[in-house]
Amino acid sequence: MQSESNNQNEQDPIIRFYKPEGDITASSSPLIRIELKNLIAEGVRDLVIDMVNTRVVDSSGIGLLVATHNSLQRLNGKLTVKNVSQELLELLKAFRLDKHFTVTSDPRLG
Amino acid sequence: MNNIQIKTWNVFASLENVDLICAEISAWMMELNLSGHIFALGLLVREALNNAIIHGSLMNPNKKVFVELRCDKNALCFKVSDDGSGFDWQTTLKRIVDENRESGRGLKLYQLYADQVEFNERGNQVTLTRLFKNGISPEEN
Repeated sequence: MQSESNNQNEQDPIIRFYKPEGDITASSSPLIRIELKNLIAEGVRDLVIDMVNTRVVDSSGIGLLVATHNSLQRLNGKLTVKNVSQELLELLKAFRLDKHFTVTSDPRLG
Repeated sequence: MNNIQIKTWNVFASLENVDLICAEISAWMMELNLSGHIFALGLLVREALNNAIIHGSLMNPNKKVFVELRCDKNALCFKVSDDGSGFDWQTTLKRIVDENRESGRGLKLYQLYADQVEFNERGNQVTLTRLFKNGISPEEN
């Protein structure tokens, strides 16, 4: 996982970019869940998940995105998911995740 | 493709085996010129295996899960079964997904990506079918 922070002012909500190294599935999501929980516990309130390396998100992964969104929303924060492939965008839209948080695609990812 | 192609796996109920089987199936589908179905079939296989391992086998690594993948000129069809007690799939299939809940999307995912979803009565075996449109060759799908 790669993550980087860009909070310039301690008064601002902490923004963090999180890039999973691969797919978000039942086998990988327990570790990713811990990392996302840690980021929120550290004070991150504006979380951007970059899916450029992610090709598959199964129902466990979708559940993790929903749980992360719910946690941030309770803390007046927000989740953004970016660089999803077209196939993943269709999947996330089918489950209406785009109605709850921002999901953007990268057309180059097919 | 004129012949029926069949692959089977009989594996221990471990999530690591899900990744291995999905990788094998992706490679096999590339060989069969079915790359356009890799995402959908990969998701279906993964979801069915996850369900068999997590819910059917309760993550007991000593239990076994059986997978059969069959491909002919009309369809891709795969069957996943476990030794568990099954579940009430009739009721679960009718359930509406609560968008705010973390779980409960697995069977909806079957319905999204499979043309046919069938369970045995006990609910410990699922058969999922993806039809090739108009029965034409896989390369054209």
